[in-house]
Amino acid sequence: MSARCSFNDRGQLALMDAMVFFAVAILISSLQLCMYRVEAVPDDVNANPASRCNPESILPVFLKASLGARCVVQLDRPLDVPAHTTVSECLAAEATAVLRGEPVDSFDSLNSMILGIATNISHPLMTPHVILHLHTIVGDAVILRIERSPPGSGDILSACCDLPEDGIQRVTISFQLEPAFLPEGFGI
Amino acid sequence: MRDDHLGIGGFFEDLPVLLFVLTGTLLLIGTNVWVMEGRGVLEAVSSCEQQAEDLVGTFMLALSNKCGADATVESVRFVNSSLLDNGSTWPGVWAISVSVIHPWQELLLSLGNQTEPTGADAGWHNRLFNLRYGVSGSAVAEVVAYVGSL
Repeated sequence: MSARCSFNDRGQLALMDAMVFFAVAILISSLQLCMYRVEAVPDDVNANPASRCNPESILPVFLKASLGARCVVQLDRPLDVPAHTTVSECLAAEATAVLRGEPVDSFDSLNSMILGIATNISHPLMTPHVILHLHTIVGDAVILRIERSPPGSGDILSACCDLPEDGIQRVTISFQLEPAFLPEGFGI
Repeated sequence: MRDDHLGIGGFFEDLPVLLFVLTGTLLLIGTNVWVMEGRGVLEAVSSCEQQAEDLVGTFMLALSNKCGADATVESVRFVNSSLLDNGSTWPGVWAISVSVIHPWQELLLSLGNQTEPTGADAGWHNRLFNLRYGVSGSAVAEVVAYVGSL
């Protein structure tokens, strides 16, 4: 009795069909996983509802916040800024003074307090930048930047609004949040 | 008894076919189950986040009804759970806290219907707002709501 097995080429067709089925299964699974990933991961940080990551929620609260401590600005005549002065009032006064020709350096202590407030109320993994723009008929110009370091090249979330008018010039404040470097998939 | 050589050869020829078909089928089933489970969790978390957002809205509305537009730090400090009587009928576990984050840091209020943390799906929502303090100071406070399913 021999234990020899017989093989024929007709089985190759079934094997080919099975491989095609397997390839299609891999394709369908990959598509499902890709679609699930798109659903599960928000498009950008804007999708996150956390208000401390959202400059549009922070800006109105930031502008209405009091300084919390007295500050003296060293101009020609020392300017005493009381603790209850709001950030909005400080920025409007500062913009007026800078446009009048006062050096920006004179406001370092006040700017440091304003940046401290912005940092306190923003998410710990966000770096705030406060920028004042002057809008004129000729064009726009940045008159003041309050920040620890210039923004990087990554995505920046921004919100802006007009400062209370003081004269005929229109000054807007732009509140920007720059996300710190995070590994992919680490949500804020 | 006669051996069926052709049958034995056919069986071994079909093994790779069977392997490919079974693997492909298991791959499809596994992916489907995993994705469906993930979607279920996402929906549950999304529902909790929506409830947390509603809870924050309810709290802010109740605070505004009680204290008017100029709520003070002191008025929030002495708020009790009766403020949320209408909004505390949430089906799951909920907690809400209010803290001052500028110019000082202090937990003003903490309310909830259960002290034990839940291991189920949970969502949260927060909102910043201003509170008056002293004569004319304006503090920044944060209200955070957590909602968990049972």
